[in-house]
Amino acid sequence: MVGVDVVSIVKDYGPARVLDGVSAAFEPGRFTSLLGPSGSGKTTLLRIIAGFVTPNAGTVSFGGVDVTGEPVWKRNVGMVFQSYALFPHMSVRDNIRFGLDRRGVRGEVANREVNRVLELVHLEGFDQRRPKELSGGQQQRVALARAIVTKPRVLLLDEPLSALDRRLRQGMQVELRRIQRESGLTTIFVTHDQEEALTLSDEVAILDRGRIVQHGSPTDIYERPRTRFAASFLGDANFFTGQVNAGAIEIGPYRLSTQDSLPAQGSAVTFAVRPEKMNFQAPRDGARPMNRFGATLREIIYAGATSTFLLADDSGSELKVFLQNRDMAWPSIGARVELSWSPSDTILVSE
Amino acid sequence: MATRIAPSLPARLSSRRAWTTAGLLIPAYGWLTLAVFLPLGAMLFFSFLKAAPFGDRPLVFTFDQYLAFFRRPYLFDVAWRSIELGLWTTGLCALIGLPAALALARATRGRARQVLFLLIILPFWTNGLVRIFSWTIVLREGGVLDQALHLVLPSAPGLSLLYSYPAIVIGLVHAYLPYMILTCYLSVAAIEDSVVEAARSLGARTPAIFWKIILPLSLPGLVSGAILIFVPVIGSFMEPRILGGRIGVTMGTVIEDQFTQAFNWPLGAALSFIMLAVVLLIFGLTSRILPGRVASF
Repeated sequence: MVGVDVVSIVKDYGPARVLDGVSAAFEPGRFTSLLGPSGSGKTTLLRIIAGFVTPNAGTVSFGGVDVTGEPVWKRNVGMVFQSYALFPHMSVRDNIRFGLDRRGVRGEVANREVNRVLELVHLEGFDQRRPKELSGGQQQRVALARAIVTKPRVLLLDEPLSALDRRLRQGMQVELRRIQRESGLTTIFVTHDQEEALTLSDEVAILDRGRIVQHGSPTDIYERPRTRFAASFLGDANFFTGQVNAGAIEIGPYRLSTQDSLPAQGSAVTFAVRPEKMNFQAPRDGARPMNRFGATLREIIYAGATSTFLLADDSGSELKVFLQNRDMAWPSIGARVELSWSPSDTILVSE
Repeated sequence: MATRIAPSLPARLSSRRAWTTAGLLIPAYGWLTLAVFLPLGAMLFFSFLKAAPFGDRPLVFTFDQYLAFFRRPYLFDVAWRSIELGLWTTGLCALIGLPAALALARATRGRARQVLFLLIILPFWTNGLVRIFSWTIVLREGGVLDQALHLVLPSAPGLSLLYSYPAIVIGLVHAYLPYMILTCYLSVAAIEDSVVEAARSLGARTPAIFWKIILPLSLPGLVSGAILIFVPVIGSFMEPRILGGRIGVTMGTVIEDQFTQAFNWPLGAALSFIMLAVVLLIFGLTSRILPGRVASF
């Protein structure tokens, strides 16, 4: 098991800068998601790690050894493509054996290895089929088996689940995680699906316009986003802008406190509050001081287990609250309500 | 009432559709029947005659024309030479055409690709005779090729390719190469980039990628190109006659002679059918050798 380090990677396509000094450490054996909107450079970063793309500047190293100038075939990476990219003229067995064959592993040894990964992906008995005789999920698993049979130094996944339907995708997420744990491979996973990134990963790196804006554990990234982009791209967030005054943030008549350290007196700050952290009634006991904020209820979207409440604050900007439908004593539409949330859920973000 | 009409409605629609389909197909198939089977039938009829029924000669039926092929051993040589010509031409077209198709499909785009395609299709737009005679200017002694060689190597002996076997092959390859490039292009263009990248990520270098991925996936294009080239080449007569001179005796020229010089239409017709049988036999055998692989993806 080796880790992957990228340092100050820059990539330009013509006048467009796709990656702008990206540095990241992918720890040995960990599952890291590169999450970002399309055009954020996440796929380019993955292709640079694989060796399909040469960066204009910066280095890629596997286990501390610089591989920036090494061609793809020498790097010993396993890659799963969005379109699976199975060899259509070969059987499942020959597809999986291809990488072993290139490494001079043949005959009985190769057969044993193929059987081992076929078992790992639960495709025993499918080895003589052609790719087009398999379902999407099965093709996906062949692609994965083909990528890991050579025991690569790093497993690279380029949105491998995005072509599957929702139910199959959820099943494959569990499978993928199990296979990754069993094989212990350092894995880098590109996705634009935030839920997928949160459920699958040990770590998530959020990319925006060619930069990694935040890199950490899923809870860390979700609970403590550092920028407005990170907060809004991963999950929903309500944003507030106010002025620092005597250890709190002032917005009109409201004084809101936070556990984050505040900048100098008088400066403008933005903070985010997750919609599920908010409530309509503050707890009566008042053990902890709660932040309070007035708003008008505009709409209720009922969705069985939960409801989404759309509100407008005094300046007219929209706020969102998620609540479980435990008791249904909701205020009526048009009513003036007071929102409350804990100071620890008041997260300062930079613009 | 409505329930009685409803079941008959789909039936009426489908019968109307059948008529429409028939109406669209009949002109094409009618024309093909007239244009292919009538002359072919007439030729088959001729091939069983003793002599062409010109004037008031009586119709005498015989199998002699088919036996003539076996009675004249030189015709076997001619037939083999025609097949050999077909193999050379097809092989060279594949050798030149596949790399060209690869380059076109994988390395060009937009306007450059359009212009390059135009250049490939250009031979189709030039008259066959003009094309062949222009080759005689290039290949004869003191021709363009000869002079170019002496410009580089003044001491070289005179170079005359005209009236030789290579000259025929050169002319034929020139005429038929576009078919091979176009059919190969269709196969190669269908190969996904990610398939090649997957092979590369699994440790394959360029030669392995060519032999294990590109070539097998190009096979359908190579085979259909070969069929499109091989058949007309073994029946060709213009290139062998003009570029081959005395050497250029092929099935095509022999058959042509029977119709235009010797006026032995029955023999010409019989030879044509023997050639047709040989071609069908060759394709029957090759389709056995390439079992289902071509059709399976």
